[in-house]
Amino acid sequence: MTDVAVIGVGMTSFGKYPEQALADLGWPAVRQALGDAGVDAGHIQACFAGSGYGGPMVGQRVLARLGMTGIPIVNVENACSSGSTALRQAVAAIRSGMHEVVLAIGIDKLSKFGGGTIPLEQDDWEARNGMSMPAVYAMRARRYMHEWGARPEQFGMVSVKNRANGARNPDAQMRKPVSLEEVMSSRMVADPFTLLQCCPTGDGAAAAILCSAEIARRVGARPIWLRASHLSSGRFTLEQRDITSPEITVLGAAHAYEEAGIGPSEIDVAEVHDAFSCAEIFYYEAFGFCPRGEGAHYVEQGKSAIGGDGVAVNPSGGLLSKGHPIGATGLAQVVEVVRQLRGDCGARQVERCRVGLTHATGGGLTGFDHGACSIHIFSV
Amino acid sequence: MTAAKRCTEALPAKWMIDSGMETDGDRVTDLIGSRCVDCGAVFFPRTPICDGCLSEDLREYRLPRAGVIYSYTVMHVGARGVSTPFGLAYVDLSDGLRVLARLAGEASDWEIDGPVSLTTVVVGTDPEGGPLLNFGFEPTGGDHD
Repeated sequence: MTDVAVIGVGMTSFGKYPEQALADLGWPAVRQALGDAGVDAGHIQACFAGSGYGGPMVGQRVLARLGMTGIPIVNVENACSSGSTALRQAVAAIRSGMHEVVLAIGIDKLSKFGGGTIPLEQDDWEARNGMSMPAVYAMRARRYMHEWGARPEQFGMVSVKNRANGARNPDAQMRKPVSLEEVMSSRMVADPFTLLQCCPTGDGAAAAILCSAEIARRVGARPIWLRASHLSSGRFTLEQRDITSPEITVLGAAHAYEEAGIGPSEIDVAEVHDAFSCAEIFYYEAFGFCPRGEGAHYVEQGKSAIGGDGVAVNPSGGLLSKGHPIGATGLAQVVEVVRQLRGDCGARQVERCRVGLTHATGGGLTGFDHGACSIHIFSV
Repeated sequence: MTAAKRCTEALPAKWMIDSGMETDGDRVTDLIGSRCVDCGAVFFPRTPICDGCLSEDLREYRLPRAGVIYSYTVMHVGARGVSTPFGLAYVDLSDGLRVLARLAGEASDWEIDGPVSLTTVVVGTDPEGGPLLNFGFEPTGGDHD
């Protein structure tokens, strides 16, 4: 089985572009990735395109703009893991020997919903019964506070950190730093979350070009190597479960570390799924950056900040600052980690950055903690 | 029906969800799930097939009417027609099931691990202007039961 390299990445600045067609959000990210890789469009042998709400034939709509049709295009929907699932399918296509140079795209345009929380499928019983993503995470947060004594202000510190990071990322949707007081006094959405503890919805696209080791050695000036590619669906149960530990991510982290042959102490940078402030704290624990129950202290002590003495988490600004056009998120995380590992991140560069991790999980369904979770590990 | 008469009549109540409950007029009397005849597993909401043993022989199952709040939140955003703020909880029942449910009563009485019992909640207004109802749970105090 060949090793897989990322040789090019690109993304649009996330934001709200209601006037733009989905295809026009997408092609600039692909063109940027092609330029970054230094390969012609004609070298791309297949494309996997992830989108949560983009509708049918997303990949075809984007690649038509660039004259890249005729190759196999596979469209992938896996809620907030759509982009990272597309990436995993690109990895699998190269590892299997089916293709040597593959494009993965993630894209969504949530401004078409006109604001509010992302719509859940009304075929689902809990969604009809009033469930929403803020409610899911808020109940996790309150139970976590009950069991581990965390304070709402500690959740708010995640927003402060990620907005400070995003202020140094020209592709971030929210580029103004905020104080803890501003976070805590913004309007209440779902107790204990105030507005600034909920990621904004928006529009955007991200892309990555992957290839076999042989091709990477020939064309890639600065390949970043894939060390693990993991995807799982959540366990379904209608019975009582512990919601203060994200089961699907805990299991996924163990698989990803095993595949990469490394442990949490070797991770220098991580882009994790901070859809709501408390989630990032749960993921410090799930990935083993700190023990159970100590995640709130980890952020409070500055360990997850750029330049902190722990793992730098969400240097891009994360979902809270960079934005969350859900299908694009998983690949935008890859864009950030690849740029960090190359040392291209300027004011938000994490020092001594050799190993990075991406993590996109989501999908609100009755009986699942999450419907999907995809984790990737990369190294220089 | 004339417009004048319509004004004097209360609009009929509507239910937010269309399954899983037994009702008596505007009141929820029971939550109805499924029980697998072959392996005994219980489900809420109802299912046509047991995910454990794949039996399709399932019978109606009445859930316990009392439970405890596993966790809850006070929501300040909601679907169209739903009044905010409102309490939403995971209620753990004695049979091992967990039910997503509205909380009734005062927010100051809601607490994690606190006992609650089944009730009916007015959650907002339906598009025709009548009351929109759902099942919910209300604190039972615990000390004086």
